[in-house]
Amino acid sequence: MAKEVKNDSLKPRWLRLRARFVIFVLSGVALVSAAMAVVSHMEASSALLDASQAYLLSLAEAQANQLARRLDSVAGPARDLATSLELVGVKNESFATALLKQNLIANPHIYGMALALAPYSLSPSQRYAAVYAFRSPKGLKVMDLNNPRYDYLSQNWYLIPALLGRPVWSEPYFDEGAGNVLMTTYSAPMVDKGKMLGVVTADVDLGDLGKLVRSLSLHEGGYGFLLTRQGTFLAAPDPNLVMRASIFSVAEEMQRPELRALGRHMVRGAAGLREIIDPLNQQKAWLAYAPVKGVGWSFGVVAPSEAVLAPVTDLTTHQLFFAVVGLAILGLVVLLMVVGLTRPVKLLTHGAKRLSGGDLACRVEGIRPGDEVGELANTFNTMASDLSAHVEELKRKKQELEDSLHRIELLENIEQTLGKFVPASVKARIEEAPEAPDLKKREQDVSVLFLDVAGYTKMSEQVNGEDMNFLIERYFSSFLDDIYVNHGDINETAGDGLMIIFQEDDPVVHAVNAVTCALAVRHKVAAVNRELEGRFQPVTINIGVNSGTAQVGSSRFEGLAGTRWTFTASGPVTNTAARIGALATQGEIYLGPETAKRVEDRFELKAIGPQTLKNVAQPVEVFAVQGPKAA
Amino acid sequence: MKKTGFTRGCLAAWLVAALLLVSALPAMALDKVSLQLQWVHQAQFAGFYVAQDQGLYRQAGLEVEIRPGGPDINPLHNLASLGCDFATGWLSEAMVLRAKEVPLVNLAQLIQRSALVLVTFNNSGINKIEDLNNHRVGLWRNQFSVPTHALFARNKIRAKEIAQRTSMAPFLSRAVDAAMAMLYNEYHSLYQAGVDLDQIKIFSFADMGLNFPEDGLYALEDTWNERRDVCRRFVAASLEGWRRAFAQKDQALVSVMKRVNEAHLASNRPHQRWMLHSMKEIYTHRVGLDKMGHLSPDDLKQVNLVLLEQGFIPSPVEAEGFAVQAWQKK
Repeated sequence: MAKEVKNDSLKPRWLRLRARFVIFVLSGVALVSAAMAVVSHMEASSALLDASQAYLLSLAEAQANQLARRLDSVAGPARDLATSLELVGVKNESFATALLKQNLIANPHIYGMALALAPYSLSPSQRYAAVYAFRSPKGLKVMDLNNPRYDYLSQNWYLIPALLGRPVWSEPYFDEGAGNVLMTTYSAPMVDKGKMLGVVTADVDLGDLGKLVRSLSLHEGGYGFLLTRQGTFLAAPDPNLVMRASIFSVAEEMQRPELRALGRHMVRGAAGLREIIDPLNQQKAWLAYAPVKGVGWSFGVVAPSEAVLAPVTDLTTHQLFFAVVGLAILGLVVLLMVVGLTRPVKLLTHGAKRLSGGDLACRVEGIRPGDEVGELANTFNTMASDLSAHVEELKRKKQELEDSLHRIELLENIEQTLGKFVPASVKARIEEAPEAPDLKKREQDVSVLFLDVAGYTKMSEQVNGEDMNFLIERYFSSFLDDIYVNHGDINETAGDGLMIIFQEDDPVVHAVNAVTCALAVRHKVAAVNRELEGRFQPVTINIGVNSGTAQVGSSRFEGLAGTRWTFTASGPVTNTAARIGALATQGEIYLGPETAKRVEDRFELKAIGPQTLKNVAQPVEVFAVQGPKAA
Repeated sequence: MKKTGFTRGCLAAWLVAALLLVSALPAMALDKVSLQLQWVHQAQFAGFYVAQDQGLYRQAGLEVEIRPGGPDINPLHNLASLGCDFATGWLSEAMVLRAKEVPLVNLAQLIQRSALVLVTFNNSGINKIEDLNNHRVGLWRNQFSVPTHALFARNKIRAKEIAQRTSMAPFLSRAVDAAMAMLYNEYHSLYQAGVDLDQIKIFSFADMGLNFPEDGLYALEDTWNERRDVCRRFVAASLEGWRRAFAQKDQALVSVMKRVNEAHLASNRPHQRWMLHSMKEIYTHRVGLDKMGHLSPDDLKQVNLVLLEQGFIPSPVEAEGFAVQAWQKK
């Protein structure tokens, strides 16, 4: 019997196969998707960030350079004019005016130009000598700047280049004369042999700076801005900042020292790129900045980090969306698959339960063949039918076994009963080789004893059949044991007699046995006679014994009713024994000569004399047994 | 679209009528006065704005017109020419004018400690005041240069004086080696132009024995004599405005920035906050909040001394009749 598997010690699973399968597959796929999304997000972010940074920086540099060129195209004519006037000198104001007008016509970028001379240049009585030509809606206009209250000599556009002896860009300013337009002025000093002659200026209208900055192609939420040397906003997304606030004032307002440090870095003419917290909206942003060479301004470009990475975010969002949709579809597919897998399993489980419940006719149906589960179902069904066949076979075998046992019991009974009637020598032979007992006749030295119930015929007429049987059994049973004890084989039972064969290796022994048996039988009969005295007539047993060589074995008689086997000893010895027995009367025990010769030492014998016997040619010496010899 | 004069006139008439109705409600006629400031709108005048915006003048029965100044406006000259009722101005300038027989009276001395400094870059080689010798020094004009000239005279400094305007650009571009600055204004502008305060050095006139108390409130003697009550009410309400401005700086800054924005001035809030903060220090220096307005006889004496020394005045300006202490309650 197979060992029973103990599953009680295992913790039961808390999820059914379907849920487990779906969860495992989906979470696996989700993990892989997530990992891929993270990797692609990081890669894309980094790549995009690099590209955006490069773009921002190049944009800032390009804008700064473009602005520098534009400012230089304004500065150039003023510088050239100053240089040439250093050589030529200024004779009078009308000469100056003509030069200024000429330059303005040639240089449409320039809003206005001034020529201001050092004090008392034209005459010792004239402290101021300055002319300003500028564009107005009605064409070029000229005015002198000689008002003492204005005192151009103390104005920065004159004062600073004059003091420094080199050209200077002014801090931008709102020019009220030109309608509050944002302007900046380039001032180039005229110096001859260390002597300050005067200043040539050129104004540039910066009114379009805001538009320029706003037109930049930037990320959403991005913007450009422009700082002066002092960090003041020249252009900014918030118009309130322009010319009113500096990056330093913003840093101060927001208490952000790092912003101030950044501003100082910028106005010192550095270029760079860094991530900042945008002061306008407190969001992370990338800032690229580059100097506007010549004028010393700084051009900044800001792009919100979020916007820079927006395509990546979009990509990730799309990936996420498709991942979710894909997972949903996959989930459905897996679910369907698992249902397809578990439905047969359920059917099989159900079938197995029925089978274990004893329903051997149970078969699993509705499972498509062709795959493993189909094979399993097929195997199950085969198993079930095999099982039922085996059980049927087992039942049959069991019946057969029972039948056999019954027969064996019968046979044992028969053997016990019949054993008494089967000669011991036959039994021995059969037991030697039960399948093919050697029952063939052979020559053997035996003693044959014939026992005859005297008056049996008369007696059977006097008592009824039932009593007759009782008597025979009673008598015969009484001496059957004596026959066994003396190793005699009952060979033949006729209605009133027995033929008993004694055979031993020693011819004396079986002869002695036969005689001993005969005496015992006579003794027993006498005892039974006494027992039954009064109820039945006493019985007389006459016995004849003879010894010699006889044909011992089975004889087969073929008849209409079948074959009948007898085991006997045939030959003259037997015949003689029967005739000698027939001679005996009054319960005598007669012995043939050969027997007598063999037992004479053991028993008292009395010679009866030669007797002529039927079918025996010669007369035979017969002896009667008196009893055992006294020792 | 141009409206006809008639319709405009009607509109104006209606407006005037409406205003009259509204103003008639308190049943008290407001005294109309005007105040001329030294400079454009900024926190230097925060107390006056607060007094006006929070109704202190109105409560004092005054309707005050505050006029911003500018580079071309001299409030004390304006006062002398009857252009306004009250004006703010420097003590030294007022004394010079008084010495010139302009009948000014000091109603209240607002700034107690001079905020005037000379500023230099650390790396300009100017480590002590004597080092200014032969260096270019930007100087404001007129009376603003008085303390500087006194300083130079006392220290025998021969500097190259460069006429300086309001901009600090000459200093920032190193066209001058030193420049005048007010601690509450230009000094901080340098900071907002990216100059770290440890890059520059200041020489404070107040620390160098030249504490010229600056802003004060002035009126003509006639005004003081004839409308003394109005003067007192105006000074009291103004000082109360200052006390409130110092107590509630954020609210005061709202009043300041409102005017700054309306005038499209190139300034910003943190700069005005700094200025207001500085104002509190120099207004309450020595006198505290309660005695704001006090003109110290010592200061008067010292300014007299310097002005005499420099030849700006022939004889000392007496406190009597000049320092009327209109802030004191009678």
